[in-house]
Amino acid sequence: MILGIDTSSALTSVAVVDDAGAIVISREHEDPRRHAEVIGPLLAEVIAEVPAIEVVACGVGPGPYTGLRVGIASALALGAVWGVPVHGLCSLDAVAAELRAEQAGAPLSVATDARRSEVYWATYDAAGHRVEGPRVGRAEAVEARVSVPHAIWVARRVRELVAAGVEPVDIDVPLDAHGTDTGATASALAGRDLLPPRPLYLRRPDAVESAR
Amino acid sequence: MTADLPLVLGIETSCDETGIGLVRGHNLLANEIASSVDEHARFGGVVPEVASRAHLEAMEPALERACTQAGVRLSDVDAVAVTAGPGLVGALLVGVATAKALSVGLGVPIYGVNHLASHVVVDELQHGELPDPTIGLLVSGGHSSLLLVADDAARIEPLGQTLDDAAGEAFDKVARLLGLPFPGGPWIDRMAADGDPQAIGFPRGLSTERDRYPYDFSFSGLKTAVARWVKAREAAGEPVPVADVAASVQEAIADVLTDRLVAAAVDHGVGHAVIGGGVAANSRLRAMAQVRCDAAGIELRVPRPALCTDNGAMVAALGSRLARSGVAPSPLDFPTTSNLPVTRRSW
Ligand SMILES: [Zn+2]
Repeated sequence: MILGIDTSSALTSVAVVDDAGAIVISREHEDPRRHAEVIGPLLAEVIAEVPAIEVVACGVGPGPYTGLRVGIASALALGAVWGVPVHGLCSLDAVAAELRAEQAGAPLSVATDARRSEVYWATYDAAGHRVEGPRVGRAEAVEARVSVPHAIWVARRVRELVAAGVEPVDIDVPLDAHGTDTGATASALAGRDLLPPRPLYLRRPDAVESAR
Repeated sequence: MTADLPLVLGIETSCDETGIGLVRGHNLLANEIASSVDEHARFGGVVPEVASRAHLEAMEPALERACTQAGVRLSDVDAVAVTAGPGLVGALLVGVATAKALSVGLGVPIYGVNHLASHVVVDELQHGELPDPTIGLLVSGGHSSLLLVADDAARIEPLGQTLDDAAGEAFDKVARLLGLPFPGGPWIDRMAADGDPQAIGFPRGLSTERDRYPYDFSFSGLKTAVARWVKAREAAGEPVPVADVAASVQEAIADVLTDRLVAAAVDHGVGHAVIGGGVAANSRLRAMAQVRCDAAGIELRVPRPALCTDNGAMVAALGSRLARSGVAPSPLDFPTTSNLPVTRRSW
């Protein structure tokens, strides 16, 4: 049994998948400012249902740092309590894995809102391997890099940022509802692209060194 | 008997110290601290994002060290306490998320507690049950306030506070003027040891407005006076006597703080006082408070410096008190509150 936790978007999502990758239980709450509030009840509900967890997987972003740290801190704490391994997963990989279920066999890009008119992005080949990213930058710059005809851009506000040229595939379901929890845990099962359970900080902290 | 009391784990992440404490009753079993203060030094102050990153990095190793130090396993913990505020939101979130996951994973109650109340209650770890009532002087880089602590610390009433800079902030700003590193408090204390505290008569804020502000503090005027004094020296081409300035500044700050502390105790007929917060580690403040409290017949308690600065033991101490008093644990969805008022002891 694998517990997946992701707080890299406005969503706080917690889920358990079994060894075959099937979702046993999944709970989520959408609010970009309340990850640390809702994660307690969500974890309690999920763990009451499935007490015997063997692996904890957490999304390590990229995503807004403040929320991101909530999920990772929780995962590390549970790993310590249970004495089980804690793995990090690129949250964009989780979205890509979900998209591939719908759009198998095409290369794709995942871009999520990084605010300040920028996006977090990564590109994947037809086999689903990440070939570039995760990175942060202006959407136009990303577009220039990705010349493949089947690029898929996701995330609600990103679509507005991307100029014409690359045809964005219109995915009705907003990024957040893709529930990166399930994707994350599925990837953990595959044992591929595991990362340390640390946030992917793609930007330096905003701070100015003092003169004196 | 002590063995029957709950083992409480305390987590503190409100500023730049990642603190883990383990407490049973009034017994301190572990007090592990990982500080990111060095990472902030070059910015001349605590950078919230830098602090938050450091908390997450430090948390799990600190938990492990605390358990080793106490000779317990995480699974022995009976209750978790964590700072819910006041403090830097991003920093608080790391501690609260950790604490909630521990609470759920261990199946034990959680207490989201007030950082300021923890600074007062921590003294129980050194001197036993807090006298009731007692006057609390809370002085740190973020806070300077006088509190009336009553009803077994269930009632904390603010009597006075700083109107501008916190005492620790004043130390930092003066240190900066003197070219001393951040954080300034320990440096001023060190330099002052070789200086004359009477060398310069720096102003005591609000001393002429006692009727309006009987228990409040103001340190912005002091900072301005020091800046002006140093500038005049430099303009005259004379060297700045750093030790004398440090000693005189420290004297002014300690004078104001202890003056208000004694006044509050006397006016309220309270025979006990406790000092908490990072500035309580200042040697001159401790010495002057002792002399003045003795003279006024007030029994003074000041915890050792390691318990004064931000730490997890103080959070565990308050959690331990709440658990012993039968206070209901916090709901799992309690929020972090950057400006949590001192009157709210826990969620
Ligand atoms: Zn403090």
